[in-house]
Amino acid sequence: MSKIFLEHVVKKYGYITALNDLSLECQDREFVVILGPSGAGKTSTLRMIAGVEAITSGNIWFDDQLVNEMPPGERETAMVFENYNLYPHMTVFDNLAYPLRVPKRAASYAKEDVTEQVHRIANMLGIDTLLNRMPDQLSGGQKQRVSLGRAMVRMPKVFLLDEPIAHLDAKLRHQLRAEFKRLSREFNSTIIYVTHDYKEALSLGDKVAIIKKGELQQVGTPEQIFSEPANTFVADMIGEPAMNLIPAKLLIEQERLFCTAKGFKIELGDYERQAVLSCGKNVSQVYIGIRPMYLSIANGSENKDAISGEIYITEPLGYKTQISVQINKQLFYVIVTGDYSYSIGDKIVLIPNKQKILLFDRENGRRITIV
Amino acid sequence: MKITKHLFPKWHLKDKYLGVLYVLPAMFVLLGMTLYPFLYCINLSLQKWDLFQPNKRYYIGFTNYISLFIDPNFWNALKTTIIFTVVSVIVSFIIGLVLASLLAGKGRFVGAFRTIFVLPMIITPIVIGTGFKYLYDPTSGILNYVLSLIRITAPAWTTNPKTALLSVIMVDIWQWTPFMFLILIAGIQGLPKAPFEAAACDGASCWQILKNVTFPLMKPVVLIALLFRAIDSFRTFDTIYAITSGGPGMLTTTLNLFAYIKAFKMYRMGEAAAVAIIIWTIVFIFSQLLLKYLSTQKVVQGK
Amino acid sequence: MSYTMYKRTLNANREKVHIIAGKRLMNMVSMIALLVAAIIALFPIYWVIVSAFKTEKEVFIMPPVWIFVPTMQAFKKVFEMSSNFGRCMTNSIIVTVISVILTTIIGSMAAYGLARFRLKGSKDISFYMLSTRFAPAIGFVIPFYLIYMRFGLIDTRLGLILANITINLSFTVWMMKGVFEEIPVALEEAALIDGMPRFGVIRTITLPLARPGIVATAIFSTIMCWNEFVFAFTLTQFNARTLPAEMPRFLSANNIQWDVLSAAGTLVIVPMLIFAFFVQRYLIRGLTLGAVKG
Repeated sequence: MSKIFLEHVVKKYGYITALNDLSLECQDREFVVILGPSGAGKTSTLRMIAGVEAITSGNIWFDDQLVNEMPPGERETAMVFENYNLYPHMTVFDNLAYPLRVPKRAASYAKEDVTEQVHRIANMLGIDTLLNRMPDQLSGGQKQRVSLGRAMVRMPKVFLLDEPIAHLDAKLRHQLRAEFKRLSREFNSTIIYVTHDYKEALSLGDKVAIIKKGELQQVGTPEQIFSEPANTFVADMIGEPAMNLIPAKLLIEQERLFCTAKGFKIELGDYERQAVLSCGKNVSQVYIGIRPMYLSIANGSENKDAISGEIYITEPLGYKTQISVQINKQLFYVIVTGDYSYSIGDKIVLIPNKQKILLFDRENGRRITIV
Repeated sequence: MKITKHLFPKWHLKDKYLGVLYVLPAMFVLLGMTLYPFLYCINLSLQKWDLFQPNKRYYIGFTNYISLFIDPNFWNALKTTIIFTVVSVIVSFIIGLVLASLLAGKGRFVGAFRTIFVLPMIITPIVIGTGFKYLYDPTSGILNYVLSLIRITAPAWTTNPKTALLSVIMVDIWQWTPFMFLILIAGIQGLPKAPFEAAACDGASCWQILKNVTFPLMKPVVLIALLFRAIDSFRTFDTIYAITSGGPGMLTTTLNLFAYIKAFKMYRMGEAAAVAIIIWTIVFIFSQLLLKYLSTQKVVQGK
Repeated sequence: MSYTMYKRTLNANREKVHIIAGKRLMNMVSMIALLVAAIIALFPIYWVIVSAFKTEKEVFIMPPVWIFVPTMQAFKKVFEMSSNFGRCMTNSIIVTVISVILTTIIGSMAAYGLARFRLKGSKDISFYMLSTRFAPAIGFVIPFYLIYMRFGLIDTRLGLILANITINLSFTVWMMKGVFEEIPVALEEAALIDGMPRFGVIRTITLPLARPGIVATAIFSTIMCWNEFVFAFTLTQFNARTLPAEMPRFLSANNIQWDVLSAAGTLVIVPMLIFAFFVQRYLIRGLTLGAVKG
């Protein structure tokens, strides 16, 4: 059992609050991704779970045990650092073997056991040929695997990964992301993975927690984060190109809900109408959120509930083309797959997929949903 | 949900106490061996105590200091110390700078010369003193012989009142120019290339580069070197003791020697302690300046 | 090629030659200046050592004797003039070794504590420690002499060891603090997370990585202890006398015997010269007081 529960955790460095009242539950063997921009407090959270950072206030529970003051060595956690943190004066083999040679484990691991385990993990990660090298002779990807191996070698209950692939090139990142997924299935441990890359969050996590400047924004499955973002920050963070967020006004005409801005007027459906009504206060200033993939291009004729504008730039990206459309000094992003024959300056009409329109309250950025 | 609270001893606090424990022995030694003697010295400076009459020991307040301030020998010693320090530091700095700039960029030789120039700094100073005493000797010393070869009748360096102080200063210069050289050449080699390249691109003349790029970049190194050496030069004792023992008369008696003579030749402990306190005060002021400057430098370098 | 172009290339070449010749001249002048400086730096040392192997007459007369038959007379006379000299040698060795070991251990511990643990007032402690490095020896010698008299530490090796530790502690702490600060804390944290207790972390991670710094600092302390004069001269007389402190004995005669003086000096400096030869690499770092990275 390796459940982790963060209860109202606060971390302050002097007068600076890095983490403000974070409460998060990680179930046994869950893959939890903590997502956020730099400085959000993600690494602080991880370090507090690991035990190398003191908690200002709040509690951290491992299963039913309060671990606030437990030394890091006693917690069954293993950490993979952003900068790998390999011991520079030891060979790869010794780096991997180090956790097994510490006093509290040395008793249970005889010399042969150590060798066997190290080789096993090295094989799993594809670094068995590097065992005699020194860390400064390794490439970034290799160092990362050794770092991961050092964490894996003692079969910990909890894996803590701090932006492990941040410093690798894009191709390697892609590769390792896939490997992480595979490895996580093989290890029966709880994994807490910290990153600023939403792609990792969506592809790896069972559960994603989004943090901004020390405040928890949303916790949910990747699907929920993607289609039901709690606020504009989350909406903007996930997806590339980012979601289109357009300032608009809500109008009720004859019991029908419209959103308008200069250049378009779109009727919104039942769900949105109920959501606005149940909201309680009088909302009129909103952001419309629609992802570029949910905008399609009309073929010529005027459509109702359409947005018309002028093409600003087109960015061909191989299999898809990203078109920025200028509508009333605002840029909408649209994605078009396949052939296209648009050029700068063309007039174009966009049709939004009404099922995928999201409304955000302009005052506080929160999404308007049925309460 | 049954909640079991395991109260581990507060690990982070314990860790912090461990840190205090590590520092403790050193602080113990330092406080015992520096603070206590320092206070003892202050206390002593307010007493009259001649070791010839060990039982006659009593407090006399600031009398020791007053008698020092009206003692021409004291002011002489102060003057001598200042001349000694200023001349030694400036000359060794200039020579060190010249040598460093000559050697900069000649990669192959830097290492060899470094090793050679390190030697004067590790030779036991008292032996440097005795060695130079021999070199300076008018009868048997090689210096005067070499000078006579180029038709200069050289004086009796260490006994001639006109040259005694100079002779001692020259030894100090000999001993510490390498130090200046090492620091300066490390400073020169550590200079970033970018500003120089930019200046060359901008078409600056040699003199302009020197004035606007080299000097400002070298300033921290130079200041550190000068201050360090100045403070250290105050502590010079061994060489002067060996070569002239403060003579002839009191012409080469620096404050250090002045205190020593008072304590161990005249056994006037109270007065000696007063001199020591004065020396300490002067050095303290300068070392605080240096430390303040050093700490700002560290901030600038992002340490 | 037109005439003007020909002229231009000729002038350009001439300029180039001037520049190259100018550079060569500068280089030659530089080398000569540096060689002169090297000779000045080395000669007194050379002269002292060479004079130790001459006879009394040879060191006395002018012009100086360059070629001679080396003899050990002077060294014999050293031990005649100073019956204590042998004991001084052992004292120097014992005092230096013990002082350096103790200073390095105590100083490194303190440096680690200051570098790693954010203790209140650590800045003040560092400041104070550094200040003691600049304090003039004479300021300590006077109270030390009287305090030692009271506690019976005069002329004891223990007294001298304590004095040496006092002198060198501040430098050791300062250097080692920089060394420890360069070792990333994250490495120690990784080891802690891996399950190693703090002492184990220091033993397996911190110390191996700090070794070059420790060695450099210890070397510097060794040189300082061996060469130390003021304390040794005033706080010892006979039993605990070290080599440098014995040197003035050879100055006390009216007619100084330069050969004996040189022989004694040679015996004092040669161990350090040999030591320095073996540890060249580390010397520069220590001698520039860590003010610039070697």
